Amino acid sequence: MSEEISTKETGTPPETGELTTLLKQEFPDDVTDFHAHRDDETVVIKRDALEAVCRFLRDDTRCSFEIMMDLTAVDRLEMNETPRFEMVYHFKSLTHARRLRLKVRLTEDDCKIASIHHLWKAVDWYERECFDMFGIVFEGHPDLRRILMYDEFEGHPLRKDYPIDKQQPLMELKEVEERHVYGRHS
Amino acid sequence: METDYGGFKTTKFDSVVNWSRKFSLFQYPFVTACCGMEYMAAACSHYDMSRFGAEIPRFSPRQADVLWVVGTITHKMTPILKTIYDQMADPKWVIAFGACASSGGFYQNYSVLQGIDRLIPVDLYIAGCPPRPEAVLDGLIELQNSIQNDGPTANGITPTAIRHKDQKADQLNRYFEISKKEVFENLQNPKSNRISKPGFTYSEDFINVSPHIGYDSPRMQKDKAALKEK
Repeated sequence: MSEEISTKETGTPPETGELTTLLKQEFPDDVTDFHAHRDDETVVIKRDALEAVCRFLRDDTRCSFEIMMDLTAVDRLEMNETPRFEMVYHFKSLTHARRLRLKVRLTEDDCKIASIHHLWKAVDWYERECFDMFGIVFEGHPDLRRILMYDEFEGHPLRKDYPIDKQQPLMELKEVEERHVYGRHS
Repeated sequence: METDYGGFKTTKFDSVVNWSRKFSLFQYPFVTACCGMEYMAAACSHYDMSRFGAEIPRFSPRQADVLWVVGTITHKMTPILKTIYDQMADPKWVIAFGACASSGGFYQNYSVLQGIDRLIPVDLYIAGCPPRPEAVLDGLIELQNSIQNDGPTANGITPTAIRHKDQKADQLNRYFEISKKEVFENLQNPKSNRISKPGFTYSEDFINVSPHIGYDSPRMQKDKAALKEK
């Protein structure tokens, strides 16, 4: 049983890690939620504070997060959660040998967020991928276009309301005898 | 010229040409996914595809006779595959290597082409995910038979499986027996990491976990019945 769930069940306040405390102290209005699980801390912040928080995490010597490990989004449509999208950022500090997970929640109507490509160069293609797959707009990104799918593709395939086997062929295809008599259509 | 056999031998010109074609297949490996490992295994010294005259991979489609489509083809890849195919000089043959190239495999989603035969004509399908090198070599021999008996197929889908119906049905049965036996032995092997709990045994039913897929599927049964009728 994870600590996160157990604290939710028992109603005790979640464990505050060192970084969480620091962020709460520096950005008291912007940290909306947090938890820690096996020394990996997760902090949920407001959207408008992202750029400032990221800059603090990178530059402050108590944080020193040199590496932006991963950036992705979660579509929580089928989890019946609001707001619908959740951005997830993973940072790693080589100096302090620790990690931090940062989350930002975005509504469906206004799924825009500031780009942080000027803080970590690696962000560039991650944000393009996230835009391609989820349709989240990164404001300030220098070259925000599709990176995995082709330009003719319509929609964003990892959104949960994209039909699961809808295909958009590039070439004219010949119909062959149906082979998929098994599977989810049977 | 006087010999014991009467001095000369008659044959059909096509037969000679096809004979020379089938033993000098230059390949173009269009490798996009994990099936490439099995292709390499089949091509390298242990299984040694060059024993069958299919020795040299040519990385220019102009010089190639056989297009091996090895692995998953996405819709983004389709114009490239089509171009490669069009660039190859006749006579040419196409092999769909593995489940993904043949039917899309388990990728039934937004990005993957559901079988390359929707795009280009295919001469031979090699089943497996990925196919064993034996299956690859068997497929190659099958293609050679096809070339000898029927010559090049210019257009249209002419699966060898239908033309050499009896052979193919036997082959399918054999493959199924081999793979079933191998899987079964692998599962029973105490050194196998698939067995985590002592005393845990797999029944034969475990292998045929889904009646809808594989060589005993209703679809395949139907095909076999159709082949027998012919």
